[in-house]
Amino acid sequence: MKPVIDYHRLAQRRQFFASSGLSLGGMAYAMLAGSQVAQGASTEQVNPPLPGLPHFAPKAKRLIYLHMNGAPSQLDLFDYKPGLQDHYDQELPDSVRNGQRITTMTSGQSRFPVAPSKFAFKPCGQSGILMSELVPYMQEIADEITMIKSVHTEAINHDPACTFVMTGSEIPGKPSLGSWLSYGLGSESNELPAFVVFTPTFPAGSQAQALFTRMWSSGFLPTSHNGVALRGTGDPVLFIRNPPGVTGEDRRKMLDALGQLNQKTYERLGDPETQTRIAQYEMAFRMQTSVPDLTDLSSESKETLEMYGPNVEKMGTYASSAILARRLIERGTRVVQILHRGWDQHNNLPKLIKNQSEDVDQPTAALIKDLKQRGLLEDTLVVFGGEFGRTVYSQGTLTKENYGRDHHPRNFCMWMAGGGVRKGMTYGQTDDFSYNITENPVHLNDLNATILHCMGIDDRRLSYRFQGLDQRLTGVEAPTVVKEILS
Amino acid sequence: MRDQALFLSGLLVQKMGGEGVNPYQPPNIWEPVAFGGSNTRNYQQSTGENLYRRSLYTFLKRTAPPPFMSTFDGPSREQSCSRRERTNTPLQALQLMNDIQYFEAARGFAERMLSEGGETPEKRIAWAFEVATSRQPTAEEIQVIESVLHGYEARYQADAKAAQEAITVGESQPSEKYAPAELAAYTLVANLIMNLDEVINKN
Repeated sequence: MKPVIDYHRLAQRRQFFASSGLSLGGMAYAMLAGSQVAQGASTEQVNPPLPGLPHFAPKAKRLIYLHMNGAPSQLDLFDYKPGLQDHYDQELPDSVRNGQRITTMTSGQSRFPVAPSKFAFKPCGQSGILMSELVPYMQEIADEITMIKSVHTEAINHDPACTFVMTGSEIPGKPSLGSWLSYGLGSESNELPAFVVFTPTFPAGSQAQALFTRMWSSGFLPTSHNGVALRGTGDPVLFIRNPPGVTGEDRRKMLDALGQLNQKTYERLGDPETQTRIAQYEMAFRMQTSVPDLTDLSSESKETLEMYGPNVEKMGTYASSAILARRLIERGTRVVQILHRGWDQHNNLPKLIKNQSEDVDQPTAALIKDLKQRGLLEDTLVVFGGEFGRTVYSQGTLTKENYGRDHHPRNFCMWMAGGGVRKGMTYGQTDDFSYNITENPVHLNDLNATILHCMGIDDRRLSYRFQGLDQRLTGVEAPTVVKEILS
Repeated sequence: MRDQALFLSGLLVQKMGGEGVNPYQPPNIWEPVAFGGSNTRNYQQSTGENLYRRSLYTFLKRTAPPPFMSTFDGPSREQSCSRRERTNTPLQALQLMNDIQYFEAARGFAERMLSEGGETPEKRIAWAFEVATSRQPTAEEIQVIESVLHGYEARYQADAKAAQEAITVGESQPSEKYAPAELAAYTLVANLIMNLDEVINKN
């Protein structure tokens, strides 16, 4: 008699019913969504969705989130204010600032002179979405995107603002958007992680802020939902390579023995975690093949590679990350997040934003075009934007050719494209100084609720109990899904 | 888990107190996220005994915690944590099999199998199994492990270069008492035992 083991065996019967319920839910999902799992009936999902998810048929099954870290200037990229030329070097009217507290980086300035953008804008495509000359390639995809000019946030500095944009809270420790999606929707791939992150290189001399792993952390969710950062140098996934002197065949033999021994442990103790362990070791082994295959671009056509620009074959660049993002979602990864640093232009903005834009413009547009030509854009959502905007007034010395801009949380631009959102639409408006929203504000919680909605999730119903609260990505107060931009 | 591996290997340094240390860490954990002027921008790996101290002495950069903790549900230290999650992921498997500190520890454990485990392969396997799991293996379990051991012995006898590589992972030097092929084969068996579910999971 071994009472402890007997007790666990009893508990295991309950676990069996619980887990079979889970996989029935998974099967129902697979049928609803027509996913790969339903097609390849023999393969079981290692990471299935939660029971009951998605809540309704999703328009987008995958998300690519392009985060421009440091806060790109909406005034120089997407929010065209031609009237500002008449206000050059004039004081920002009090009626516009309206007593707003500003950061200590400019609060000491004696003047707040209006700095019009030095870049030329033009209406693009059939839709006439306005974009500046900084992003000539993005101009070509205007008819694929919804431009939101009225996003706003609460934080005015990078750390809390980045934490907010990625986790829906300024307070560290909450799960990131990608982790929520991995938790809720599971992974369609048994060979690659559900949530993958890139932190590419950025132009030399850029004003870059630090990143935090909390921007892709699972917070209080199980760490299996952590974003896996694919690395630009060395092995793309940590410890993917066998030690020196150990071949794949050696590893296979070891895993065969390990599987046999673990199976005996399972038969003796009946802990389902042991079965999971066997499956995860097998997945690790498959990753040892699938990751090198993922990063091997030799099967890509010359045209495709050229579309992404000259840096595409240089591991660790934004262009390389962009094409790998496409290759990942093709292979069943749920969420890819690229965090491109260097957009914090407090001074010397015209020169620096040009470098930044050159780094991301062509690969970003190529990604949209590439997804489209493969039929993937229909059910992949792409999001592009930073953590807040920048001020219309100049930080530091203002000339026609040079200026800087401080942090501005009251309004900024983000765009979305693909599954679930309309094409060629502009949503929201700002005043003549791009300082206040005049029409259709979109709070970051609204934006996140809208992203979840596109992915088939009702944000109110995706929660996790932690510290006595049913925690959500979108917080306590109900956000508004931006229905107007949905397709 | 890391402490357990170090303990099994005989590499663990039991010294108490003192400054934080920087054990083995792959390149580019700190660097891609760090602020330009940060004094923890570049990871300076420790050497000597500081590689083998208990994990609680590891210096922690909160914006980029060490993978041997974060991959194994180490709390982020950004909120209080009343209950640690328990997950089971392929990244954990990769780390426990391939991370330099675990593979070096496997060699240490292999040397102990050869020096403390007895004269025959069965005795050595039984000894290692018991030390790692706190129970004696069944005859069947010994047989499974012994069969891979013989396979590895033959493989490394035929490939001296691979054997040498497999036993020279990490900063510590392999004992010269053992033939490289034999030690390499035992290293892989130690790596196997240290990856058993019973060793890494409290069932």
